[in-house]
Amino acid sequence: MEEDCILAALNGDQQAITELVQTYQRSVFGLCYRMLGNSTDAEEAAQDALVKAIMNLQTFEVGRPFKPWVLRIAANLCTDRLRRRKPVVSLDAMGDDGAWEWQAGADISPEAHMEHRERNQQIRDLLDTLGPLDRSIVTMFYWQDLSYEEIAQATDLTLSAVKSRLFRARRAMAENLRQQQEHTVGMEVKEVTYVGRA
Amino acid sequence: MWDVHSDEWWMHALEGTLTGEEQRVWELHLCECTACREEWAALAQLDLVLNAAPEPPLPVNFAQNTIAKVLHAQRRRRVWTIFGSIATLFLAAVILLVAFGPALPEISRAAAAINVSRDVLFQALMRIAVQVIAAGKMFTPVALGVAAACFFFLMPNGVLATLAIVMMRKKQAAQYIEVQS
Repeated sequence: MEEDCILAALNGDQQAITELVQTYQRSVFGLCYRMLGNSTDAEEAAQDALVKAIMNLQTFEVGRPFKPWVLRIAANLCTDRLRRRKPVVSLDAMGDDGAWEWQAGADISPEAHMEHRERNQQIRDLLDTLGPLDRSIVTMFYWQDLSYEEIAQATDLTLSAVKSRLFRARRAMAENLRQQQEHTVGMEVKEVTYVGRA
Repeated sequence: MWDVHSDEWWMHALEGTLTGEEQRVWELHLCECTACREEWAALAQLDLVLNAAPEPPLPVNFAQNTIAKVLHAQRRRRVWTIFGSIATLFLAAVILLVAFGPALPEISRAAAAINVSRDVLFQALMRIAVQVIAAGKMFTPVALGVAAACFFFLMPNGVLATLAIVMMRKKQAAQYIEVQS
């Protein structure tokens, strides 16, 4: 079924192209979002990745799984963007973390929205400690449900290299999380002491 | 038995692929070693945090915009293909011109000579024909002869072949009648 769709898209069938985009848009956008950390960059990168994948379908080996292939393209594009990214604060991108997105009448309450935002920020902080390759491996493992073999295909690494890199990344993030939590507890203790004195 | 502090051991523990005996050793070790216990707890906490991450919402009209970009890219590729073909042809023409450029005057001289010779030959033939007509006052036979020659030479090969076959058959038929008689 998927193979037919890919072959049709290869021949320029617009219906098949639409189907491919609709099937893989969530996975590709999800990967780009986790790798780049904001919706604006992720949207651009995900669109570029899908366009590139469809325009280069002739290089895809029909019969192999499509998802690792398209995620590989997306991960490579995100890696390029991360390498080119300059450490500047953009006023245009200040709303990208969702801080200004909640409006009255939205599906979720402002508290839930705030909680989502904090969770996303926490995950972004954890992923920021990793290099682009490790970030893509972690993203594929946790949020794309790819097997070790598929991650190896998508990243061009050996199976043992994937396992080893994933383990080290998890260890580094766990350490970072522990420090974050210690910092948060420390802040809360200080706050309580201050309130007590006042 | 592996070292419980090695990366390999930890990877197996995280994947849940320790054997029953190894699992028992590992649980015992976690009870004894504070550093490992804290790290193990931190890894479990990390799994909880990452697995509970909310899925990022897709931007509005993401699929439509992407499809529009794909179609635009396909159009651009077609235009570039045509442009590339034209450029390649132009390049090939330039290369031919550069390669055979010095020989061009020779080629045009030869072509001119052929043209002139043809004209001269035609004029000579016409002059002879006119003189023959004038000398013998026999316009009709000469004109008919020229027309027949033109008809013969300009006729398509298929018609000529058919005529030849018809004539051969007539000849064979005549020979057969002769033999019979």
